[in-house]
Amino acid sequence: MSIQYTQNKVASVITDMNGGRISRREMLRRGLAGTAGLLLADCWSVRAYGAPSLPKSKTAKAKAVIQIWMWGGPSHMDTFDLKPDAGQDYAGPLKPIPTNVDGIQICELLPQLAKQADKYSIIRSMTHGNSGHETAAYMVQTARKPGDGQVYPSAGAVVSLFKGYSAGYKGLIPPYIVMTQLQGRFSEAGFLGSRAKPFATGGDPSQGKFVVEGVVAQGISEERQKGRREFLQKLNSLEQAMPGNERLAASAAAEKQAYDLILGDAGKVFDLSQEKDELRDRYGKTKFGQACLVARRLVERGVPYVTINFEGWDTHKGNFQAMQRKLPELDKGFATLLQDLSDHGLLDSTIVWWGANLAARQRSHGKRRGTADATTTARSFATSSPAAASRAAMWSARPPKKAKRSRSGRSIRWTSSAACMNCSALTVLRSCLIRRVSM
Amino acid sequence: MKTFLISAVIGVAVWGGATAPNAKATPFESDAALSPQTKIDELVFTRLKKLNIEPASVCSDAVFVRRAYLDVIGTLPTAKEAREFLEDKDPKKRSALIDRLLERDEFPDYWSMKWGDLLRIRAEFPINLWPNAAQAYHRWVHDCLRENMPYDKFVREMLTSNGSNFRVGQVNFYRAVQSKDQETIAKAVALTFMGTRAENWPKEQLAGMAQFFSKIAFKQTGEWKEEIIFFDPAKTATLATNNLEQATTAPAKPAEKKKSDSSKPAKLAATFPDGTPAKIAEGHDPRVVFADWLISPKNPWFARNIVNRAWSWFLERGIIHEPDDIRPDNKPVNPELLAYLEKELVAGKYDIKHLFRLILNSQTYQLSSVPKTKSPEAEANFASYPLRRLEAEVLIDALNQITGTTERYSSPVPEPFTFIPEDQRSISLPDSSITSSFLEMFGRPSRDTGLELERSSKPTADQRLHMLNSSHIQKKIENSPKLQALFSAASGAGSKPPKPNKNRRGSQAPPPVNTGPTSEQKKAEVINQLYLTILSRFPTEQEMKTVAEYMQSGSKREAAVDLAWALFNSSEFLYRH
Repeated sequence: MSIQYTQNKVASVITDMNGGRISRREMLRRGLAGTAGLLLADCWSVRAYGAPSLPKSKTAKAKAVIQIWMWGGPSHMDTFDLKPDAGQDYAGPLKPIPTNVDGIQICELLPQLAKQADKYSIIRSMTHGNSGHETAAYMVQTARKPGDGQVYPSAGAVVSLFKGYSAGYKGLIPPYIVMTQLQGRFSEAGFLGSRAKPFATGGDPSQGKFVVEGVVAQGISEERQKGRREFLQKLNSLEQAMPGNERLAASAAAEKQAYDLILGDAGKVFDLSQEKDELRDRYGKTKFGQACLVARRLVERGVPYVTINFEGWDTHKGNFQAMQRKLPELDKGFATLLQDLSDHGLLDSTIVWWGANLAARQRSHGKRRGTADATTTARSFATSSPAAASRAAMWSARPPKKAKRSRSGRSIRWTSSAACMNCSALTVLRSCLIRRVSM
Repeated sequence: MKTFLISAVIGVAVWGGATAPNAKATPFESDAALSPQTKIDELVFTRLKKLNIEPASVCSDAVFVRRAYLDVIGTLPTAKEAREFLEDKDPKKRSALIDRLLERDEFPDYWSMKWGDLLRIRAEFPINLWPNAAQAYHRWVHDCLRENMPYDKFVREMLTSNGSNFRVGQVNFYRAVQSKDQETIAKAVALTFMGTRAENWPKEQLAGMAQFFSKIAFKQTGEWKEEIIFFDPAKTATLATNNLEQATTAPAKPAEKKKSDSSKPAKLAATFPDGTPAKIAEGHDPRVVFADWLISPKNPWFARNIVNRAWSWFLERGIIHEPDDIRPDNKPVNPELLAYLEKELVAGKYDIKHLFRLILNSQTYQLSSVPKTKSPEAEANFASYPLRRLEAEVLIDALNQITGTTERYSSPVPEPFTFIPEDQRSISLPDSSITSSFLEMFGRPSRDTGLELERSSKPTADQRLHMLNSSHIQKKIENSPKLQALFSAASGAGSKPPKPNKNRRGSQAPPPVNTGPTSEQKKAEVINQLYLTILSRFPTEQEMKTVAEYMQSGSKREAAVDLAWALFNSSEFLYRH
């Protein structure tokens, strides 16, 4: 067995959270959550299991979430859960390297993240047993099983609802941002409807100017903006024909809000020229890298939920070439984000959740054989306990014992009980995430 | 091209001047006397009189042409179509336009979109039809609408067909649900075709109805994601299970499930929602028995549901509101009106276009959106036409039509990738899974539930930001191949040294006598043409003045771009009115 974790470290973190009330196995079993489950563990124990007292250090103080969403599902076995002893067929050519935390090893293509391992925890036990991208995305982001007659909102939509405008959020930047495109194949808002949709920035932060759709316009001077606005007002004959109409008033209110953002200073948060070149380079001058930098700037200004939609991980063919190409990009952006958040004193109040809708198993010839056995999530730990915050824990699950080819031959479905998600536990987890962030 | 433009300039400048509406009326109302024209009007106006509510004036021709195009075919009239209608002197031109629109190719395009919402045409989660099937389903709906299949037949086909989800589009009705157990299917049938929410029914009533859908079987074929839907007399009841369990197919589970099956009480008898027990002969498909009960003219739900919905499609509110929440304690505001429409539909052999025509030709439909009263009951009793933001798809199509640009749509669902041609209009997109941040931002429904209220027309700051200031819209306007000629004409108009026109501002200058168009006339034509193209009407005198003033200073081209931008951002453009 080559699982790279130290049993006592894991145990110590669990003890911190639960006062030793839940066994590690139980924790893992219940921890099959999509929604950054681990971070909730403290309020979890208190709220869900009725721990008699709530130690002071357990109160939530996260103010923001940065979600790094690896759409498509990178292989956990090539990123944070390498299995070098699983045999050549499964282990692949990528080798594990040690990190700055004893006993934790991650992929050799993530050297900078290896130096930041004290800032995150890895959950290696997540699984939900579904191999459909869109259904999997739904399960991971909502922690709900599909098909119960409702389409639930994602964690981001819920957080933005409870931490957004109705909860006193005053920022002009919308409370739920996604860079740069909506995820597609997944409805972030669920039954909350379009009001809970994230604001998609569009544009590309690695370009000279990050043109955020609607907020940052190119080639229109402020003077012309103001002139046009006045002109529009004069020409709005329908409004003049029915003064006081409620529907048009709602539209006018939305327009005013829009102009506050267009003409005010709030949009400068997207202006990366305010950052040092050296820092921008460290993040990597790529779309993903610069999006990480924007995420830090957004969090700094109080935006409660930022998703970075990092696409292109559905690497059916040429997986290892893709990993050679993409993992360094991930490494630079993600590692610098953690360090930068820490340097700005934001890491204690920011949850960084790295995860995907599903993960893939590869065989060494690089062709994907199966999907959906685990989701790896990482986080920066945000609690008021400095000891816990600085300690890293590796959570590792045994690889599922038996795998069976499905009839279609397209995917492997696990027959082990680990594949069956405990949905009621997930519900608890999800609501805890929301509570934790909402406090 | 240039000569054409110039001659058009003169024509319109003169015409526009000649028929400029008088200053006090808004461009939205006509002076036509309000008198009931149809039975619908009698019923609506009688009710309004009883409530002492004054209805709005009749809408102007300019409002009507735009409204009719948008409401009947989800498409904006072109400048030419708008102008021809405005210039037409035929007193019956409104009903002639309605007839023409009902026969347009865009009619089935637009109404397939509406039906797609209710029939949940979606390839992906949570409906999971898969692209091939979503397209087959959509194509079938589109064909039916194009041929104007009688509504009763349309529904019966969906409820009773057997076959492949890829080849017999209508069988997808039974697949377009979040879980395929018989109660979920019964709820979908009740919602879609009876306008009621069966989850609020007494348990036995739903269970009795669900029995009709207990013999539907789904069988995989060798083709990826193909499924045959058929009547299986031997099938035993399916209980509500969740997709997760089906998906994981954990071998331990089915055994457990069977156990709980057998512990259930003996088989329920199929019972119609009105409480009558059904007689189903051995070996007969209970779906057929149900469908025949449903579409019978005596059925109290069937015609009521569709006429009430149709009314709400044109006038926002149902006579029973919400239109898909019909229940005994949700009374119609105008029962006589509802009864009349039901009677007409049945007498007209379920011809949907006949129903639409009745509504569209009524003066009630043709009222202005400028209300005469603030009475809270006015809206619910149809005293004016309701302002509604354009649907996402209609809005982007209108922007594209005017600017001559296109959207690039793609479906991320592989196997097979869906090819969407560049000039595909958004109202004809078959599948709500097709990714588009614009459509989502502007409230396209996800088609998860088939509820009418899934489609949102709420204005949000994001939408305003996008329209006011996004590169998407900015590029459409500035690089527009269709508006380019007008923008250049505007800057051409300014290239001549401007005559001293300070004094002319405000007062009506006498038209110049020379034969060639002056720069003033050119400018007027650009303004007229932009108004006609974007708002389907000529500018008022006041508007003409405001625009002329704006064009005084700075770049003329920029000013013309700004005018197009302002008109696109006006409520008049963004709303049906």
